[in-house]
Amino acid sequence: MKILVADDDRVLTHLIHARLRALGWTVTVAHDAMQALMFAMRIVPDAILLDIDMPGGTGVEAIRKLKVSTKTSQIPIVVLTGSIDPGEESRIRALGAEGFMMKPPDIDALHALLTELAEPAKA
Amino acid sequence: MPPMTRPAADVGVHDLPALLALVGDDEELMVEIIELFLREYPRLMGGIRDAVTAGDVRALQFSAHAMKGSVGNMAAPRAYKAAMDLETYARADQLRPARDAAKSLEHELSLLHDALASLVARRTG
Repeated sequence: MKILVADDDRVLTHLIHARLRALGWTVTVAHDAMQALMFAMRIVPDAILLDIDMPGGTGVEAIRKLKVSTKTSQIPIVVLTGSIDPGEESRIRALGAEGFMMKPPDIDALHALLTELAEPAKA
Repeated sequence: MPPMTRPAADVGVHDLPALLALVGDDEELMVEIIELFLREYPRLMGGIRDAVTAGDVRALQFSAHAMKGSVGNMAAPRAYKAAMDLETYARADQLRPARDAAKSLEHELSLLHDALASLVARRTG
């Protein structure tokens, strides 16, 4: 499974990278939205894990762009957020993101969610 | 390898069982992310100080949010609460209480730094 992780929090990306790699997945890390879009087009991952508050363009803009590109529109996106706004999840899902998790994520639950979303997309 | 124990003074500063759960009980990974955090958080705190000095609540909200996520990775409930308070005040354009919240956050980060540095020293020493 190829996963793209996009977050400017280097501690969290290191943690997710290490834990998912230990499970046999290939993990690419981007640290801003622009880099995330570039890597998504280049590697066409099986799923994208995206922070909604990144520098270099917001995660919201990144989701919109990923969901209109024919190359990336079918890739499931799981949004990571530390937002305390109760309306955040519905706004993000309305953009087309398939999953939503609060930070810091439970990595086992994250692994299960990414597997569940990415396997049907690969079939 | 001896089991990791938590000194009484660290209670509430960081939650070691929660931190170990986050890293999947991989102590080597735990040390790696702590060392990364100890290198990264001064930059985030610098951004908070600059935003407070400039009276820029939008920048303060963004910096406090980033700090909240960062200390959340360390399973540090007191620093997390301090960062969340700061973010809430900045979001509400309340600069004066935000200044006090920034001071509280700085204090909690100092305690967290000492607790995490001590944890790493015990693990790697």
